[in-house]
Amino acid sequence: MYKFFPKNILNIKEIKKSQIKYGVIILNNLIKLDPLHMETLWKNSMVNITVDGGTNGWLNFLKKNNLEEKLQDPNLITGDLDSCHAETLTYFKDVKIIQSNDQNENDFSKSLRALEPLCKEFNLNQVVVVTDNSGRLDQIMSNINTLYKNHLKLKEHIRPAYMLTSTELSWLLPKGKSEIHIPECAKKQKCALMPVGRPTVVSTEGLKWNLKKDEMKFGGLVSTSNKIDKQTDVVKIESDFPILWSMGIRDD
Amino acid sequence: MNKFFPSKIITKKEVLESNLNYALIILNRPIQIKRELIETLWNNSLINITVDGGTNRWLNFLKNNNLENKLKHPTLITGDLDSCHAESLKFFTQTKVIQTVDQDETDFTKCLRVLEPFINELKLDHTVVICENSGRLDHIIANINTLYKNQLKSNEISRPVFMLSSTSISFLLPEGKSEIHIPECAKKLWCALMPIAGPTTVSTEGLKWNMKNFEMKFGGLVSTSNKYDGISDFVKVECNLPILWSMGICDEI
Repeated sequence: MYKFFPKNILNIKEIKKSQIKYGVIILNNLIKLDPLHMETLWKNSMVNITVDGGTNGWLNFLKKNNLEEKLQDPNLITGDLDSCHAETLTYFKDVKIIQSNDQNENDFSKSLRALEPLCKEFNLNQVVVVTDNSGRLDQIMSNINTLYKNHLKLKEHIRPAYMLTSTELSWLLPKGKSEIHIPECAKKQKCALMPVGRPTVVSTEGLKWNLKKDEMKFGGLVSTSNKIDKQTDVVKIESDFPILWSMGIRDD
Repeated sequence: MNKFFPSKIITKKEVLESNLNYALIILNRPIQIKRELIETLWNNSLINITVDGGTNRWLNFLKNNNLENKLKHPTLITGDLDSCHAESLKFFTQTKVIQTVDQDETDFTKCLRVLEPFINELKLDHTVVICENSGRLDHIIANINTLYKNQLKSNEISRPVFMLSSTSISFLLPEGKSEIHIPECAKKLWCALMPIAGPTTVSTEGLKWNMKNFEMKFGGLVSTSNKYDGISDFVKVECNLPILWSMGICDEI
């Protein structure tokens, strides 16, 4: 049984008071999160990593919100750096860079690899990945694949990587039983269970359209545009394979 | 052997020259494709369908480009219509509305069902769907599921469905052998093979990083940000399960 408390990522008060240690990875070059939310996540994290073009995104975010002198620099800049502007690298000149040109992994995977020793050092329990559904289908799928690879690598130790956009939070639920404690902002919001990568047998409680040992698969049942039932505080899911969950965090 | 010619969809010139019979569907995402291309696709299709909020998007596109009175109205508006503005319905007076309320399927899936009888009637070769790959993850995934569901239909009522965005074209390759003709300007761009439905054994030719009887799967190898070998006009793919192909397209019209 694994329990998830997304309020520790989504709610500003909860982020500040939570004891859970996390890292932040900035993937995308346009940060659309609410600025105070982004600032709070950054300030309270143990490790902040900006990835390639995400470094430009972070600098733009600082400038746009007059935060240049106010927030700590990233701990690391990673990626192949082919999208990172010279101006950005100059600005963050004191930041350690781990450049990797390996074409066999995407930038997200490389950043998790760079984070690995820091996860141990700082006892990190989760990773918050600031991203967006960018328009390139292969990059979206590549990031989902990274979630699977990361999950499989960690085996018994669950250290979720939460993909956070301005409107939704997505992550891989492990095989077996999960409970998702639904924060206020997500109640009555849309949600989805997506068996990306293979057919998965799933049961749920707490959704508008629940599943009961239903086989979910592409070409058949993929539970998109589902909703969290308005009475629900805890969504329960059981699956025979890791499955991708997504939940709305504010109105579209 | 299945042959795919995305070039016949992505440039205005080729759309006009190829003279194929196709249906055009507009889904509910911002329309970011170049005006000339989308205008050409619209004018030359045999049936134009706007789906729910896609109807609003289409009306906005017309207004932003001063085309309100220049392009024919959609043939059909479909969907559960919970996102379609009254103003849009009111504007398209010549359009038949088919409301599909079933909540077990997405509007896009239902739209392809509505299209089924037209496939033989209009002798449609393929369907082009205008949709950016942005916004809600579950919508992006749902659209892919619609492609897989369409793939399962009988030959009578199924035709290739091309998802066209401003930067890419994506479609399902059926089980077996496929050839994809790579337009000249796309040869320097990216491409991808994604085994969404399950582990898939794949062989390819014509890519920068080819596969030979390789099992592709999530949690393992998913071929994204691939490229072309720089020599071939065709990419050849053989797979034992339908697999999703996506490729970058260029700016030229």
